[in-house]
Amino acid sequence: MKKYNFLVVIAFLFLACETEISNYKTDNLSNAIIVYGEVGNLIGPYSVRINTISAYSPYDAREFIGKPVEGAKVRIVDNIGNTTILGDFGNGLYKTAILFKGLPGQSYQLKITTADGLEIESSIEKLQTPPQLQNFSYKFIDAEKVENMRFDVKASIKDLEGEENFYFIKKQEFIEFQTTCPAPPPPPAPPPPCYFKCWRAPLNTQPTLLNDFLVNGKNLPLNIKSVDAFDWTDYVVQLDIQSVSKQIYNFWQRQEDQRTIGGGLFDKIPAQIVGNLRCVNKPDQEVLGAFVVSGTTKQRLVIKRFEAMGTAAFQKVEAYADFNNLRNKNLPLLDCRKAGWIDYNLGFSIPEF
Amino acid sequence: MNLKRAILTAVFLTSFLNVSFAQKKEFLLTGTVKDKTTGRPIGSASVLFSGYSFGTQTDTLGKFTILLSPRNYQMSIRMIGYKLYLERINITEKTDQEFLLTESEKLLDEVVISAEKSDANVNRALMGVEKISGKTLKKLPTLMGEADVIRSIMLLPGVSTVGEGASGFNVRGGNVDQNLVLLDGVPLFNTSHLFGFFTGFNADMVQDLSLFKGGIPSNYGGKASSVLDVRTKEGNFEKWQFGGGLGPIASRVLIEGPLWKNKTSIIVGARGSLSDFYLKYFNNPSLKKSQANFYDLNAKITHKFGENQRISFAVYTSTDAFKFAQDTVYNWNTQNINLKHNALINRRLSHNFTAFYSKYLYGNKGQKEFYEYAWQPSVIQKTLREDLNFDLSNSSRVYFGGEANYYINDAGSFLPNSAQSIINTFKMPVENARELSVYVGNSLVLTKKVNVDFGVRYAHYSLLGPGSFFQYQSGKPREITTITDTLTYQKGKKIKSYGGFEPRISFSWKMDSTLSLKFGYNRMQQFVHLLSNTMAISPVDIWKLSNAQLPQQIADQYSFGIFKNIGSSSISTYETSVELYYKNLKNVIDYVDGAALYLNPIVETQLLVGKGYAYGAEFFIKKSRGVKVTGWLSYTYARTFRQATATSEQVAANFGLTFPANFDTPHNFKVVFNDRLTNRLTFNANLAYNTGRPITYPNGRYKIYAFNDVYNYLISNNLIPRDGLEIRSYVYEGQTYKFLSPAQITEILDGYSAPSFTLRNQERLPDYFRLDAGFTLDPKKKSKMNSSWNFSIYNILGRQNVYSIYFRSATGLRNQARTYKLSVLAVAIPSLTYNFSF
Repeated sequence: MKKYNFLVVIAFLFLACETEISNYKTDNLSNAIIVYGEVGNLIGPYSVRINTISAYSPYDAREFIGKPVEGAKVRIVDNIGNTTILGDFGNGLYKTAILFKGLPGQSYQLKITTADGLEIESSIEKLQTPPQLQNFSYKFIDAEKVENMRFDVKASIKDLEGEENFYFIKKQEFIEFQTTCPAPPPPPAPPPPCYFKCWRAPLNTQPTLLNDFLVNGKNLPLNIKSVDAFDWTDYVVQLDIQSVSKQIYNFWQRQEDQRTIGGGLFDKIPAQIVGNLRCVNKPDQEVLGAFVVSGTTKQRLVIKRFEAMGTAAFQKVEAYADFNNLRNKNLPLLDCRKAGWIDYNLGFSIPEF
Repeated sequence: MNLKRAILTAVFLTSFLNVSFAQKKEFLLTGTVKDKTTGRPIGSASVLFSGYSFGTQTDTLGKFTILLSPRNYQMSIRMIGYKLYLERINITEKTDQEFLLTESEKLLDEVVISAEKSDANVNRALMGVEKISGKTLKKLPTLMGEADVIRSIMLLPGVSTVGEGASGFNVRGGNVDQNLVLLDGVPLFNTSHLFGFFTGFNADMVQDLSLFKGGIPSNYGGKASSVLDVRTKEGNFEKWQFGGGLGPIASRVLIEGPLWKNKTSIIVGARGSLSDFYLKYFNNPSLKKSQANFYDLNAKITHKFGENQRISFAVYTSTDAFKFAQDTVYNWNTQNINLKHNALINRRLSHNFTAFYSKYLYGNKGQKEFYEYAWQPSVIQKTLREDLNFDLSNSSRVYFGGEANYYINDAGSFLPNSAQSIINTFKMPVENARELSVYVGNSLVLTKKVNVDFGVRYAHYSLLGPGSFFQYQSGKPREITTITDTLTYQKGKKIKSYGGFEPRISFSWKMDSTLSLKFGYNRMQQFVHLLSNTMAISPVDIWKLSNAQLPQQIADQYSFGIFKNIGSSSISTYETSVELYYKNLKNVIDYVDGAALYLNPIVETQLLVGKGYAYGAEFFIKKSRGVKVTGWLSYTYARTFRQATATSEQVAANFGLTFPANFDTPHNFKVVFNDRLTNRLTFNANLAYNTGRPITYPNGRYKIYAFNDVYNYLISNNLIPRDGLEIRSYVYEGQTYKFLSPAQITEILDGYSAPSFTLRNQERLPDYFRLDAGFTLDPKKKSKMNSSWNFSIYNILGRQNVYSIYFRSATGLRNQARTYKLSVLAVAIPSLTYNFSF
């Protein structure tokens, strides 16, 4: 009764009710073109994707991605006048040559001519100095239960003093996984080769945004989620720290605002998020997305979980992995590359760094 | 003989002249009308003289003055809820008398829905005015046991809100910051507690309130749309009284009494919330760490220098704090002090002098380790004001006066709040401004049928130094890249001025005793603005003074009305009215898409200056007096629109097209019902219906492919598509068996999914409907300890009215932008409140 009274009276904390509307849909009423491309100081290739918008239909698989815009002429022009033409790889994907890279201090502009004659241009973006990543390390935190064991990962950016800096950070994880080899045939048949160690790279489309407003010149700590200790395989955390312009930062900040809205008091009035692209010869042609020119620092942290955890912890983790059948013992495989139930199964190796 | 005749003639003429002089000579009758039991003054009581067409009304201090020819009069004093007072009075000299009215026992408490006589709506020149007494407030069904000024006026036609939990209210298409809300003449910048769930006014302290939706007299100014004038009680001059109430969320206490009997009184009302206490008991760790509390305090000391002069000193303070399991505490605080002096200078002239200091603090504090900060903007207003009333005759009253306001708007510097914090100090500008205004008005009874109230106000505003302001390149929209110069001004130096006349006129033609036609026009200016680009006003939205880029908002309202009373019985009268209005708004503020208002020293780059208009028809029928049943019913059809076009100095909002304002709800229907079941037991019910407010829907969805390095790697290394195996299963004899089956390994190109938006506010939320009901058990008469109970159920149907529908972008594998709706107060909420007084 007491608890009921508390429940009744605190209306604004829990009598509010959020529910998903699953049957809202609208046909695609827009002819907007979506462009996203990047150029940085690291060796390429750099890609630009061009698609159309799709209908707002919750679970219609045909509207999962927009239709690719193919046959466009895509080029990147720098402030000196050099033009780099991107190759058309089909399905709306256009890429530079492998060795192409931008230079800090130079400015770049993306120009697109679609097959039906639309001229799309980005603003001229300067390639900022790549940021300095510091203290990228990890520490094992032991605990009684495996669920509470973890590897705390930390990193920070040394911000440049005296100027406004904006950072766009991508985090990609590469996790080694193991499968179970089948039982060897009885002798004298030799056991066949078994490849049981592969890598997976779960998709992460969640950016991290930082700026040095109010913390100019300081070390800016990154908020990186801890790595679990459910298994003792290697775990790689890769950070791409991009130093971007204020306009690109604001573009992504508004995207993030739209992702975190709760329908309450502090939500901004929704409005189209326009990046740094526009159609030059047809002003009412909407172009969404962004062309990001960034000074990029890329680093990987290899977490040797087996070596870091110690014998006692390892025994617990081993028991945990066995109990939870992480190796799929009942489904032995000779080749872990064939494990189709593992999302983003990369096979034996991860992309070169 | 000649001398004798001359003397007789002289005596005769002298006598004649004396008689004539005596006949022409008038005497002043002044009086004070009071409640016989409590000794409180009774305002708005009608003072009439049988057989004569003239009369008068008492003011809020219960006083009246009238010039009368010397004769005998049958005088009557009428006030709803009191027995008719009759007295034969012989006027032969200046007379000052006290009149004590006895509360009516047989007539029910008819001050349920009006603080004035039931024919006041027909008689008075002003239109668009509603008055509610303090007693009425306590009769209406409440949310969580708290009588609420703002919720009460939202039951009136022409008043609406964006949604539950939204601070403030909208009047006839005006923004929330366009309402001048006065507490004993002192403006409030925030009228609510806990994001609008509770009002900032302690109902125990409220004497009465008046809402001017239109027909605003010239003595009011400073905001563009409406005036809500809330007056608090004075303390009891006769005896000490205590009272209070215990409710589920908040409780209150009231103490009043004579510090010096019949000379000096004091009244103190305090209210506080209990919500923090409850939060500790929740198992949910987020709720345990949360904070949500408020308190407010009103205090007033009044001293009488005789019957014609008094001085009062009042204090109001209000505090809110809110934190929901995060590292940020939001807070807001109001502190007001005011000093008033009112006096009857002579038989025709009275004056009111007011001096006040008002400070509104808002902001937040961050508590995250190493990132501790404090941001505390504030608005300070200092005012001196003089109001004078002069009775030219019984049918003409002139009122005039002026006020001087000084504003200090501190946008709030961002400061580190601990020794370990890495936050740098960030200074924000402080704006200073002065607003001077003078006004004159005349309430005139032109004929028996025609009343007019007209006047003009002149307001002059100056933004003053010290300060630095940016100059922008002309011919280009304001942006950080178009700043050409920084201009620095010394203290007191005038930076920018605005001003203008504000004519006001209300005209009433009384066709008969029960029917009148009215016409009104008023212009209002506003120099202090609230910046908010969120769906609803939040307490940490930013205040801003007019500057070079932000001229004053101007509203011109035209209104026309027909007022008809039905029923000849003095007990059962229906007041009906139809009011039509059109409001034109200039220089309303809009925002660039995704405007960054927070901690932005060049916030003018985010603002757009636009225009708007609103129109509507309000249909109202009210039964203000009745033995059993009273209440009202209203229907309003109202629209309100905004537009911000591109100019040489700004970009457009919504492509420069006109769009419905966030609070545009075309159909509004409200019912208030009170049924006196017994002498002590009253049943109350409210019904509110309105069209859903406008929202912006997406016209599509798109993905941003910024995270496809791994996908590209798989493609370029021919890793997808490739042959592989998938897990499949079958069930045999109740057991599930898994096996591997050949399959193709491939991945979908995935990305950051976002909704694409188009024109603003073209769709609507579902309609809003709510029914509240409750019972009030009044105290027993003549008992020493007066106890009353109020039981009410808010949203008795438990309807999940939609507060907002929103479209969230999504990340993660195969996630799409999705649609959600949020309902606030989505269940029936009962509450039980105990009130006491002795």
